[in-house]
Amino acid sequence: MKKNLPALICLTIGILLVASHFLHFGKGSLSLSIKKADYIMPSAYKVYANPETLSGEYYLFKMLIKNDGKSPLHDVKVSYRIPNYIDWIDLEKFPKIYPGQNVVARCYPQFKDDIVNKMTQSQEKVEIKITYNGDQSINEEYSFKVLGRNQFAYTDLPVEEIASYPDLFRNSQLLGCLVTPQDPIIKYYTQQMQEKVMKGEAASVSNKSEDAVKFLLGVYESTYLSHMVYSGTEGIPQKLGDINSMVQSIRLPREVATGNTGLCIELSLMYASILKSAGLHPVIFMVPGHAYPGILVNGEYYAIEATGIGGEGLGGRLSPKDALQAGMKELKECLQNMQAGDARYSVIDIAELEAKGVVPMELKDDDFLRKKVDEIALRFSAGRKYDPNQKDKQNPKDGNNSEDDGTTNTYTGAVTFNYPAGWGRYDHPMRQKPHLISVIGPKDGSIEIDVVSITGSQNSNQAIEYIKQQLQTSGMRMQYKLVNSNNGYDYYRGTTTTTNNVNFKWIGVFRTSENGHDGVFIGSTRFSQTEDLLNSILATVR
Amino acid sequence: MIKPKKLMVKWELNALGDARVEASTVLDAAGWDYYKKTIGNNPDVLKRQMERTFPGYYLLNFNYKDDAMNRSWTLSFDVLGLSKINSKGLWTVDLNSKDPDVTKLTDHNYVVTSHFSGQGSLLQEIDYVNFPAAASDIKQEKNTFGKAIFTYSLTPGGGFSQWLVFALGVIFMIAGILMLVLNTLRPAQKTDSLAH
Repeated sequence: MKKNLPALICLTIGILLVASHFLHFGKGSLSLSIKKADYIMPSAYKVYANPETLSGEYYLFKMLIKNDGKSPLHDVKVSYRIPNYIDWIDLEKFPKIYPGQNVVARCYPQFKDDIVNKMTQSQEKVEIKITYNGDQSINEEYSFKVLGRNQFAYTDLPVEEIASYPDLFRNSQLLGCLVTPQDPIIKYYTQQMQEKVMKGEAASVSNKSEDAVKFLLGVYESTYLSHMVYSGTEGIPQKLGDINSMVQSIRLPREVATGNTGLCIELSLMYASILKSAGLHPVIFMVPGHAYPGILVNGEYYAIEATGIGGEGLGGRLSPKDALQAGMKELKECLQNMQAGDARYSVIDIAELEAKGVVPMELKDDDFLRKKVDEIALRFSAGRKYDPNQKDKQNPKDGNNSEDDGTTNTYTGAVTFNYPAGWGRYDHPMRQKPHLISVIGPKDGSIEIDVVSITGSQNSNQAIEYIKQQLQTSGMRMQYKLVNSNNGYDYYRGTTTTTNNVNFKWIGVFRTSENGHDGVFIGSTRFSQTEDLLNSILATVR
Repeated sequence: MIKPKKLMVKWELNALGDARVEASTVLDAAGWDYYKKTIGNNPDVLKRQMERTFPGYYLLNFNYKDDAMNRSWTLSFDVLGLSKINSKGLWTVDLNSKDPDVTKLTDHNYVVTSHFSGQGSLLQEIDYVNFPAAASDIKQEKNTFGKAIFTYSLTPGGGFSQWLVFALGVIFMIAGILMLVLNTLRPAQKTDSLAH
């Protein structure tokens, strides 16, 4: 045994040296570092889900895992879940992490489509589990916010990081998520607009610039005819404050279209959605404190001042032609400032963003909203057509605001509506017909508006039958039919023939009142020549 | 002909998958003027831009310098976790570049050129990628998104000293075995009897 001792020692040393090459003595251990998003915007959920969109900058979290130990870590698996949203899912697997090696696991959460139904902000939790070497594990968790669907954070930088104006709007590239051309409601609105305002013209049929501009004007005209209201003077946040001040509640395009009101950015997003739905190339121009829509066609930009529709108390409305002129003037200024390097002026190119993966949320069809579109579409065909001979409003931004233009008066009573100024109004003109509250019309008597109030009627049909009977007692005949019912209003068309066989064609509407039904009937002996005017008056009934 | 703006990026990978990156560019007069107005006096903005360009990695140890006379700036930083081991046991590097031009300079040095447009300008990025000396079988492939990636084999810690230890171990083992064998074969020597 003694003589073999040196040999055994040599062999032992040799085995240990060889073994140290293959086996790593010592433990492996992990250290973690997590960078996380403070919030998620549901409207941009598809961007968060795609690691390729915008180079993957919108992650939920990224985790640096370092092997601080002396031996490799095997089969390192990172999993996560977001309770109530995403169940446990494997994020990444690393077969081996050598001592001193760093690896990064990034999380791009796949929220379900129904996240777009989330209307309010909430605090949620991410739970992360790291398992390695078969039986070892580490758990981590942290909180983050899920904003409401309509909440849009213009920047994700904390206040102390904001150095320039572009920093305030770092997330404006995500506005592309709010352009929803595939939304069934927007598609329906576009279709109604094309049928009733543009009379079937489709701008995407040709590549001609004039057709595209015509379509852009058509969108404006639709909002003009439907009396869409520009609902505010401050559309884009400007103030530097804490991060919350750069979170704005933005109506979706479908909400602007059906609610018939919007801020400048909301109108721009709606325009972009409709224009894209029609096959055009929409853009949104962002300038200090404002946004307006446009199109890029044949290499040239065109823009329109969508807020020219004005609103109650906002000094009037721009005609479509003037809105386009105002938009083109602003566009020239915007492009000049961009070329001069003023970072406050920029163009959001929706197609470019889409190519980078910024795609909008999935929205479902909605019968109620379709009906709202139908109501608004009635105003497309009933609304007063733009008359180039009529005196236009001054551009509100010029500061030469006129007051009420004196072209309309407002009737307020059983019902409320507008009618041309200069027409006479006679209240309770016939004692023997107490249901006839007011008669309004021009001096020549060619047009007449009757305001009626029927007591005791169970439905509008009974109410109109009562009127018919009353006319019969005077020797007149009436024929009528119900054409539409919407949101509590019943619309009728008919003809009343006088004792002299003069036909008085009319359109009218009834609505339920406390004691029966109130209604407005507008007719003319020259119905075909005055139909547009009559429809425009009826459209203002509220 | 429009001349693209050039960005040169050097990637020095180590044996553990981290890299030291040095990005630099030379600007024309107008570009330098714009740069000084927007970023030049606030180089931390450049750092933020780089972090946004490489969202998938951890960036550390930033170092910035500029040369106003030559209208150039250089930003260097560490990228942690740039290269990682895939399920086949190969290291993988993704430079986030789709359909670039790849030129092999040497077995361990490659040049990757890509073009893209941004902010109204045409940009050309030239990446010099230097792999660690211990890397072997370096290949350029495409990932599932069509992006150019590099794969290579490497065992960290397989340096000269490690192999020396291994070789010494083998030598000791062979020596030990030989000694055992010789001891077994050698006949036992008889000692002279004191009675002789």
